[in-house]
Amino acid sequence: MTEMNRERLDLNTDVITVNMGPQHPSTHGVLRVVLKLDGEVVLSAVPDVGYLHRGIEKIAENKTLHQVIPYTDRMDYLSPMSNNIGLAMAVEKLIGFQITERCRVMRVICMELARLASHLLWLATDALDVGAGTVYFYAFTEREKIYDIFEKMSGARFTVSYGRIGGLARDWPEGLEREIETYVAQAHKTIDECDKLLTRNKIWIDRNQDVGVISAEKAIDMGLSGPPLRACGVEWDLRKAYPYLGYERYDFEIPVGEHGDCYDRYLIRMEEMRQSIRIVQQALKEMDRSIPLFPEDPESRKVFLPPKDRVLTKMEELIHQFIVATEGPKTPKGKEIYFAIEAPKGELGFYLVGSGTNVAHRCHFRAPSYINLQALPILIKGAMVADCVATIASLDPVMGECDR
Amino acid sequence: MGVKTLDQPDQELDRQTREDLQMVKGGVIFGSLSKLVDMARKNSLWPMPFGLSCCAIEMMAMVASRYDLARFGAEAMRFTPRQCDLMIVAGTLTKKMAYAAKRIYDQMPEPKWVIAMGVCTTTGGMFNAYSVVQGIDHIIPVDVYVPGCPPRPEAVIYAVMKIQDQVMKEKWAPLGKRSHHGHYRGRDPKYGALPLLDTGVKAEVKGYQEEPGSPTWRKGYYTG
Amino acid sequence: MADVIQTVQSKFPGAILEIVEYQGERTLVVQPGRVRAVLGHLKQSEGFNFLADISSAHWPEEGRIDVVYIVRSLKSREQLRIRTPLPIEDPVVETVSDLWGTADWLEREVYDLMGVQFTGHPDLRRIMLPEDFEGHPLRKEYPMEGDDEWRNYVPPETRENRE
Ligand code: SF4
Repeated sequence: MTEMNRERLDLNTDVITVNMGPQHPSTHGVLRVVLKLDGEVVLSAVPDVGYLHRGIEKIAENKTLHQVIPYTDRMDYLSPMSNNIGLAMAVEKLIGFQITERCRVMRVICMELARLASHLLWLATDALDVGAGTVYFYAFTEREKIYDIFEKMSGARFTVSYGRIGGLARDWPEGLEREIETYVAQAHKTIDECDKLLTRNKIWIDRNQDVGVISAEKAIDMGLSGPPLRACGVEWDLRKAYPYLGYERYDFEIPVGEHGDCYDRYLIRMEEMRQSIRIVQQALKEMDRSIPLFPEDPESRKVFLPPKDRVLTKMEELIHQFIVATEGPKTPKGKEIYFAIEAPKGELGFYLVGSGTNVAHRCHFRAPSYINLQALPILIKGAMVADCVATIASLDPVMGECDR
Repeated sequence: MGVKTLDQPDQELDRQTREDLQMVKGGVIFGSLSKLVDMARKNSLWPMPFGLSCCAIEMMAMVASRYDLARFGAEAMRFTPRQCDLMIVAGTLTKKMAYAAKRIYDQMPEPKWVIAMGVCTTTGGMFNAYSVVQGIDHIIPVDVYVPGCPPRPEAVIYAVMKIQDQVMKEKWAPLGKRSHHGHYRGRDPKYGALPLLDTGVKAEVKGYQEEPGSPTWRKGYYTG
Repeated sequence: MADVIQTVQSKFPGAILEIVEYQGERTLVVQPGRVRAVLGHLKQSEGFNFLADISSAHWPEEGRIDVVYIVRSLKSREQLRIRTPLPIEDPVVETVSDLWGTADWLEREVYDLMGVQFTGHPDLRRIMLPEDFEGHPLRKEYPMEGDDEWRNYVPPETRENRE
C-alpha cells in the first residue's frame, strides 16, 4: 500500500452542514433548508422560512376588506382565483351573505380552472427539478391558454383579483362559456402527453417512488392537507367533507394514494387535474345567464361593489359604489369565523374576526404550504440530497403563501 | 493588416484592403473591437433569474414557449451568479432576504446589468409593510425598472431589449475599473458572514461525536 | 357536538368560561391555565386528531390577547374552536406541540408576530422575521410600516452601497 492510499484510508469523514437556499433551491421560491449530511445522506434538515414575509396579515388589518382581495392574489400566486374567492366566501360567512346561484357556478369554474393552472405549474417545476425539461414547455403552453381565459374574465392574466365580496368583479364576456368548453375539451391532451412522458418513465419512477415517504398517522399529526395528505391514503377533501359552493352536486372523485411518497403525490395531482376538468364540464352545463350575478334585494346592495360598467352609466350604482367602497360590509364586532376551502395546495383557511366596521379586526390565513412544509424534515430524513429536491418539489410549497 | 477599425475613420483604406474587400463582396464587418465584443455580448446575455415571488412565475412564462426569450439570445438562465451578466430581480425583496440579493449581485462578474421587474422590486409596491425593502435600489444599482404587478412578459422582454441597447452604448472601461456598479468583495473580513442560524440540529450520528461546544456544523455556511 | 362539550364541562368543571355559537361554529372560551388539558382530552378521548390552525388576536382595549385553536376530527368531521384569553402583560400559555406536530411552527408564528410565550415549546424562535427584529408586528400598536428604527432598516452588509 502506498503512502497515499494509507492516508486515504485514514481520512476522517465528518458530518457537514450544507445550506440550501434561500435563493431558489428548487425553483419553488425563497426557501432555505439547512441540511446536516453524512456524505450524501441527510441526517436531519431544518427548513428556514420567512424570506418572503410581506406582512400581509398586518396589511389586511389596515385595509378595508375589499382592499384585501388583491393581497390574497399574491399569497398563493399560482392560483390567485381560489384565494380571492376563498376570502370573499369567508367574509360572506362572517356577515351572513347569500350569493346567487349563477355566481356559485361561476366561482366553481374559476376555482377549478385555477386548480388546473396551479397543478400544471407544479408539474412543470417538479419535472424540471427532477431533470425533465420538456414537460416545462408543454405545461406552460397549456397554462397560457388558461391565462387567456382569465384575461378575458378579469382583464389580468396572472394576478386576477376576480373574486369580490358578494359576487365576482364582473360578468363574463359573451361567449366565454363556449371558449372554456373548447378549452377543457382538449385540456386532457397535454395531461395525457405528460402522463406518457413521465408515469412509466424509468428515471421518473426511480427518482420518485419511495422517496419522501410519510405515513398516514404522521401526516395527520403534522396537519398535512391537500395532495400530500391524500397520497398517504387519507380520503380527505374539503369539497366533500364540508361542501361549499354546491360542490356536493357535482360528480367527481377524490384520488387517494397508498404509499405517501413523491410518486403518489404526482399521480394524485395528475388525477385531480382530470377531475377538475370533469367538474368544469358539469358546471358549464349549469351555467344559466338568465339568473343575475348579484342578488337584487336592497339589503345586499350594501355589500358588493357594483360592476364597473353599471357604475359608469347609472347614477344610483355610482352612489352604491361610493357607499360600499367607503363603508363597505359591516363586520359584526367580536364575532369570529373560520372558513376553509380546498385550494390546490391543501386546506386554505381564513380566520376572520369582525370589528364593527368594514375592516377586519384580525385576518389570519391558514396557509397550506406553511404547514405542509413543516413535514419536510420527516420526509427527507435518511434520504439523499437529490431526493431532497424532488421531495420539496412534490410538496409544492409556494413561499408567498407560506410566509405571507 | 486587413482590418480597418472605426477608431481611425478618416483614413483612406489602403489599396490592398480595397482589393480584398472587392473580392469578398462586402462580407466583412468593420468596427472597433469593443463594438464587436459588445455586439456579441448583447446577443448572448445570460440572465440570472433572481425570482422571489409572483413575478418569478411571469419570468418563467417569459422563458417558456409562448414568449420565448430565446429569440433575444437570453434564454440561458443560470442559477449561479458566477455565470451570468444580467440579474433579473423578480419579486418582493424582504429585509430578511436583502443580504442574499446583495451577495448574489456582488458575485456576478463584471460587466453586469440589473433589471428590476415588478413594482415590488422597484418601490416596494403594494407592500408598504414593516418587512419589505422599499425598492431594491436601496441595495443594488438598477439599470431598467419594469413597472407592473406583475409586468407582462412582453414588458420584461422590452426591458431586456433596453439592456441590449445599453450594452451597445456603454463605454468599455478597462477591467477592474468598471466599478460603476460596485464590485465583488470576495473574502473581505469586513464583509462578515451570513447570519448564523441556530438550527437546533442535534442529530445523533453513529461513530461521530460533536465535541462539546464545537461550532463545526455551524461553520458550514458559505461565508463569502 | 353537544355531548363533547358536556363531557368537557363535567371533566374540567369551571374551565369553560363561555360557549359562543356563530354561523354554525362553536367556540369554547377556556381558562388559559387549562387549555392544554382540555385540548389533550379532546385529542385523546374525543378523537379530535387534526389541528387545523392556531391563531391569535390582540384586543388592546380589553387588554388581552386571544389564542385560538381550531381542532377537527377527520372521522366525524366535527370542528371545534378553543379560544383562550391571555393577559397582555404576560401572555403565556402551555404548548401543544407535543400533542400535534402541526403546532410547532404555528406556535412559533404566533410567538414571532404576536409575542405569546409558549412554555415547553422545544424551539421557540422567530420564524418569519430576522432574529434582530424587535417587537411583535401583529400587535395593534405596532405601525404597519414598521417602527422608526425598523422602517429604514437596511441589513448591515448591504449598507455601504447607499451612500
Ligand atoms: S410586483 Fe406584484 S406580481 Fe410582482 S412580486 Fe410584487 S406583488 Fe407580486
